[in-house]
Amino acid sequence: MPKRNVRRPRLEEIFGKTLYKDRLECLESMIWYYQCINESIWYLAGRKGYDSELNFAKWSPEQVRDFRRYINTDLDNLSLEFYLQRAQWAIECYDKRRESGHHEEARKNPSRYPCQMKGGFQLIAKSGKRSAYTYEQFLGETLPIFVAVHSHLTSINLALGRLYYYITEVPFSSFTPTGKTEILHMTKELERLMLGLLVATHLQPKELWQTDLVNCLISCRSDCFRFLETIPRYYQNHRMRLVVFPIEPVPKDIDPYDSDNKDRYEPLPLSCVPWSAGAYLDFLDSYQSIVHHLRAVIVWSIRLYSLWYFVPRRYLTHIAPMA
Amino acid sequence: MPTIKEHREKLLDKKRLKVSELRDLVDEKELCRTAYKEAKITWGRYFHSPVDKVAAAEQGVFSFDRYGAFRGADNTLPENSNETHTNFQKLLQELLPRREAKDPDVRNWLLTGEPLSAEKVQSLKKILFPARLKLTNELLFDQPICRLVHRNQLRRDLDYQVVYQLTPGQLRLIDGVDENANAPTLDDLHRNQRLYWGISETFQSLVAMFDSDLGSRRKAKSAYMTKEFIKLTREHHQSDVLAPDELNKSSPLRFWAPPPVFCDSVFHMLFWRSMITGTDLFGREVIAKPARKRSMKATLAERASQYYVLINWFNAAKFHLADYEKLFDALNAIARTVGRVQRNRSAPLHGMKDILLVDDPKGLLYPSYFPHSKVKFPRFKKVRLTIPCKSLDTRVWELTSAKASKVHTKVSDLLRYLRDKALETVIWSKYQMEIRSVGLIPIQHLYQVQFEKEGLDKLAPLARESQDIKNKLFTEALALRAEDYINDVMKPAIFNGDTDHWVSLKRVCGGTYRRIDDKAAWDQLATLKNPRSDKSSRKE
Repeated sequence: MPKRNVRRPRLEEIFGKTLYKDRLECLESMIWYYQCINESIWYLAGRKGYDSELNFAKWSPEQVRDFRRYINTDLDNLSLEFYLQRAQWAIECYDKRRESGHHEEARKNPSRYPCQMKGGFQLIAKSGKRSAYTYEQFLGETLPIFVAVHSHLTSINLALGRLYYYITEVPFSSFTPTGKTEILHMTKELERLMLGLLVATHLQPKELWQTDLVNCLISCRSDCFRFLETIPRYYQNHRMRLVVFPIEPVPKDIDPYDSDNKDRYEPLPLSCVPWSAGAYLDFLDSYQSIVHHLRAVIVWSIRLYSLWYFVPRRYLTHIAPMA
Repeated sequence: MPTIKEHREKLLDKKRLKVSELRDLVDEKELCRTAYKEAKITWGRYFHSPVDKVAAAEQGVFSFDRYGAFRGADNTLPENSNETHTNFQKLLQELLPRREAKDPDVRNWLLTGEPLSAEKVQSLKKILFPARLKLTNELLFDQPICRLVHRNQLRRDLDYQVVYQLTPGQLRLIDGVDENANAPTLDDLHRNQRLYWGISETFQSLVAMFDSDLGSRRKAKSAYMTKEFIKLTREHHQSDVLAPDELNKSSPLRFWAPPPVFCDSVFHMLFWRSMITGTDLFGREVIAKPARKRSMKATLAERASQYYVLINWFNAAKFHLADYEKLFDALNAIARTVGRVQRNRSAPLHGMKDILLVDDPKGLLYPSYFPHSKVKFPRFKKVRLTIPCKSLDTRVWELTSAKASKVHTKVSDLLRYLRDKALETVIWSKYQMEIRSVGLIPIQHLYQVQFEKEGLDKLAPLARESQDIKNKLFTEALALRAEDYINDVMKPAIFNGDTDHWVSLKRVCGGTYRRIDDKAAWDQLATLKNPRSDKSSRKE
């Protein structure tokens, strides 16, 4: 059998040598999904090093929809898996409580060691019994948070699907090099924000410099606002481009509005028609939608964090329900 | 003339509703006319329980015996041969137009379970699942859907003044705090997720509908029997073996129904049995700790107050509609594989090699792996679906159709069983019952079920009869007669709509502003247990 030239998205590329020892498996498929869409954009927008077909996922809209169902089903287990994972960590803490160096290790990465919490899983870490902090009590504290996080994550998946639809439907070749660079910029920015989402959903730092988790999440939140502010500029630039590089007239033999051309009803490529600006706007809207939901997840996860760890008062205003 | 929307809002504002009034919540008249009304005329109001499928149709078209086996085609019940023959003729008349009724293959399938070819299945599907009766996401968009739940599945959140419905996985973890083996562990969760990615959406849906029917590791009735019909194994990981019901163990699924279906069928099939017998369809006690020395009427009122009707608005992100055609297809594909492996229908299953289920047509049992893309997903692990035969080392399977063969289960028994399941999907499709909610769902409107005086008067004697049967105060013959009496009273009452005066739905909370209408009923719901608030209340 000849070996097929196939690329598999690797989680190691994202997690690498990070602090993540245990990941939440239910989030992995969403990470892969995002990674594929991201790389497909890079491929189509011509990022260096991403010019191989192996970087481009060829999916039909139906396949994306089917695939998304699997991913969303995984996400349904987020609250269950989160509880079971932390409860297991807490029991590990209990087992190691007398080991020298455990306390120092825990101080370095308090999110990984529930013995550093105030309340919650700390109760298990102290007693070594799951019944000290039951799933029902956990739900009591966190149910609305997980309901909200779940619904925002599924919305992000939907918007990612729409993004993929636009990049494959709108011919990217019609964009000028400047236009493509803009898209690359946006995608790069989004990638940074998505790494913030990774930290927020796992509620543990990925790198050593993120140890002050709440600060890291707050700056991710600010980053989201900054990204959202730039969106109108991109649209403005695109409109300007349409003025500077006028749209070429449609060839007569394929123009459905030409009176002599009665047989042809082929739809025109979106970039050829004047409302391509509209398609671009929808494309930008997908980015905007992703970032809005992403910001919401970050806010909810700060709220989750504040249940068990100290959060300075100045940050609590950011997570008030009506903030 | 109020608009449909205004009418609906007015209905939802009412403090008390009759069960039949729920039907008017659907604002799209077309939906009622096509999907439900026609089904009702053709199939009659149907009693059908997913557990012990004692079913009876108004016109006797489909019926199942007390073991859940389809009655009407098999000659396994010689004492009912006349009835069997008549039922079968009725079935043919109602089910199929003249040409298909004469088709020898279709007749043979209905009589013996002999698998149909893929082409025949396609043509049969067009008749059994007419497109005009099919519900779609678009048709149901922003339409209300209903569900009947027991109080122990509900939790209210005082911060947001909202009620949540917990999923079975969550409930199991809550119940299983004391190191109960039944509670899901992290390893279980991961294993299930990995296997879940290896099976198609259709098979997932099949598992959601018939999980323990498709195979279970739980103990069978006898030590020599088995309930393991299908096994899921991850390739190269022989230790990862699951039965379908284990896959569904931490399932976040819940079944909902559109209002006309709910008030005509689903409500009745779930509610009355629990009221009369005190145990629900799944054998759980309605009242966990019943008070002693209580009048039957008081007990009934308490039983009813344990049940709530939920109304939410449908959207495709939170709710999934079952594709019954594909389920029918999948069951026939499994039967074809079994039939192809062993031609001899009287061959015992325990003597055969395990049967590997192949994907024919493609994408039915296993997911498609993006054939045109060079990007592959490690999450899509290959899974083997097998019908375990020799490896089980058991002679008898606890199949519903295998009632006749007590010595060993034969290939023909399995084929008949698969045919029964396929016919069941036809019934389910007529009532469009399977809308599955996914994940955690806040409830939009909540109603509590309450008995009217007339209902208590009518039901109390029946409940007393049932209690006597339970307490074994009757001989076996008398007990059967008492069961028949209960059915004889209940069936016409439901079909004629008399039960509509027996119970009413009392509005508890809900709406855009999450208003609480009945503080007492609201207080009966368990709150989300918050250790912090518990502490502060203790200090006070």
